[in-house]
Amino acid sequence: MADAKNQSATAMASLPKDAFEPAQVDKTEKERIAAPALTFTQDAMRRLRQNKAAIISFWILVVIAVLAFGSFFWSPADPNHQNLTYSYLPPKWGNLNIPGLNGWNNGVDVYKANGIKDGVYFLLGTDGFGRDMLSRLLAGTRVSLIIAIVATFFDLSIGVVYGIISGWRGGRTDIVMQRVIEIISSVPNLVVVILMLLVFKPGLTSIILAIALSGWVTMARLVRAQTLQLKDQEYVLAARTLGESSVKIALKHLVPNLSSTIIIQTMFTIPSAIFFEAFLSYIGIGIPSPQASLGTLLSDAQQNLQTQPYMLVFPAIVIVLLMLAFNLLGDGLRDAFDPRSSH
Amino acid sequence: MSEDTREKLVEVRDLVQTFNAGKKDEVRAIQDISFDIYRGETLGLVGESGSGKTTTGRSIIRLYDPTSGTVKFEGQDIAKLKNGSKAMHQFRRQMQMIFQDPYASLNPRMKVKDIIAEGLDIHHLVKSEKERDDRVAALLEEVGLNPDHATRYPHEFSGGQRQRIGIARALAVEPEFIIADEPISALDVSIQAQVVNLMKDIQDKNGLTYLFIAHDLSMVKYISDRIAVMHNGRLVELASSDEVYTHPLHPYTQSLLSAIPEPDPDTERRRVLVPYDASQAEGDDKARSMTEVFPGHFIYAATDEVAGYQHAAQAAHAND
Repeated sequence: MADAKNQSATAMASLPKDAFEPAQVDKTEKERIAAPALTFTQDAMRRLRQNKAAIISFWILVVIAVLAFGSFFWSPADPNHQNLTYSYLPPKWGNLNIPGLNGWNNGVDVYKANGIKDGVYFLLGTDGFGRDMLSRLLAGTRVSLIIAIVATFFDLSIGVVYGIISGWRGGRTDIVMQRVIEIISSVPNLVVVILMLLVFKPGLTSIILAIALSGWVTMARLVRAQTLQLKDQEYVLAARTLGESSVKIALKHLVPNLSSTIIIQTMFTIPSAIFFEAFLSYIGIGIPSPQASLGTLLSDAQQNLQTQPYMLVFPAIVIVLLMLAFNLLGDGLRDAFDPRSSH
Repeated sequence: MSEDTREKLVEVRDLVQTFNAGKKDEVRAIQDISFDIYRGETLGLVGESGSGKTTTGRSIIRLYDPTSGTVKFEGQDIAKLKNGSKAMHQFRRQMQMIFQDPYASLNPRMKVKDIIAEGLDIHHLVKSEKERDDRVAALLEEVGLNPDHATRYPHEFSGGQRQRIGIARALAVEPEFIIADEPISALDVSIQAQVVNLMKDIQDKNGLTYLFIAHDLSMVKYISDRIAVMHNGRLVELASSDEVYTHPLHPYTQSLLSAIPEPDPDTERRRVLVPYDASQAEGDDKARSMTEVFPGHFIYAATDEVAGYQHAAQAAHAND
């Protein structure tokens, strides 16, 4: 013990004074930031990429969108073209003998029984009027996606602007605007659409009008609540003391800081709008026949559920995929843009 | 103090700020305060939390519309300026504010460059992109930051650095008067000194006038020429900073000063807290106003209390 002490003491003594140099603290070096500059969006995208479910959902949506909108230019057949010789043909994928996709239904090779020529086959089968189900499914998905775009548009144009004005102006303006929202949201959507039918023909127009009338209400509420918080932030006060105009404050300070709320809410508005359209078409007050939409496809198929189950399966798969993908992507975006609120 | 020779930059007269007036949740944040700020000085504003310090600052800079009373800046009543008018635009350039929370006062979605240049853009002070960048670099250097940081985002900086960015933003429009709303209370002690010294240097260089709001009494004494003490939305004492420290007259100021902990354990053990009973010095129904009881030393007092304060002031000075 004492030896060790002596040794370290001699080691210390043997160190010459000039072996030490005072450390030079460089002021600029101290202030340097080595990490690469990441914008908020880059950071959020990095977090989003780590979320496998969200990324898969994103690509599923891209594929569905490309196929659906691609059918504007190329479709296997005219979705509304009837040909009674091809009535109720089950799916057949060429000569591939995959159970369920080989042209057999209820133990009968329907193609052979009906005397369909070799080389004529329908990937997803046909309905009672001999219309190609794949083309109808693509056309129906397209309607759903158009509804998604319209709902997004009204969310962003009416919802965001309404919310920012209501929150920013505050006081009496806010009270009046909030009462208006309460009145709008107290009328059930279904009632609005049925009332629309008194004036308009059933179809895309009345659904779009119903969404324009009430689809943006949740967005407006969320944006207002967030704006109320943001407008007391010191950087907004600083902008005011600098003399920035209200419009510029909204564009430069509010919207960028609202962006996560806006993106996330849009992602949850879309599936509910799609489902709303499908539901209306299903009960017969949405897209009128013979036009295809996921709702009309499901409603037609449901009548033949026991004899032609394939007619129901494929539209159902598409609507489930759309709903799941939008919701999972929405969840992923929420976690990415607003890490604190996850779980 | 020969007050007539100095130019009054800001005159606050009978300022009242009430929120939610007439409703159940009415808040009388400021109840009738008057004071002057002379060009080139630093006026410290101290008081406990909720005493109305920040509200006073925000009313002066017209973030709030005063309920009644006048605030004159260079002789012009700013309460009468119309939003969006040319005079208001000009006023926004002359008076600036440094904020309390360095984490909330910078927009997290903007680059430092754009934060600092916001005022330059609003007031069209630069003509080209290059001039803008040069000006931002100069401002960053002025507040002791590396000009290379202009393209960074606020979250990459420490609290002290962020506060300096906030100071640079205020300086960008070359104001004459800066309201510093507890600029150091969110910083740790070593950084506090840095920021306060920076503010002093900038004041000397640019001939600025400060209203320095804080609750840290020692820091206020260090930077201020005069100190105003606020309590319950009223000014209770206003005098030069040495005077307030060595001869506090109002019982609230005495109580506030007695609450400062001493670094020396021996004196700290002997420190006696002076309790303050508001019902005696402000709570009763006597009409009170700011009265000069000693040259340059104002006290919030009723007429029958003035003699007592004057006597106390003279006695205190006689002991010097």
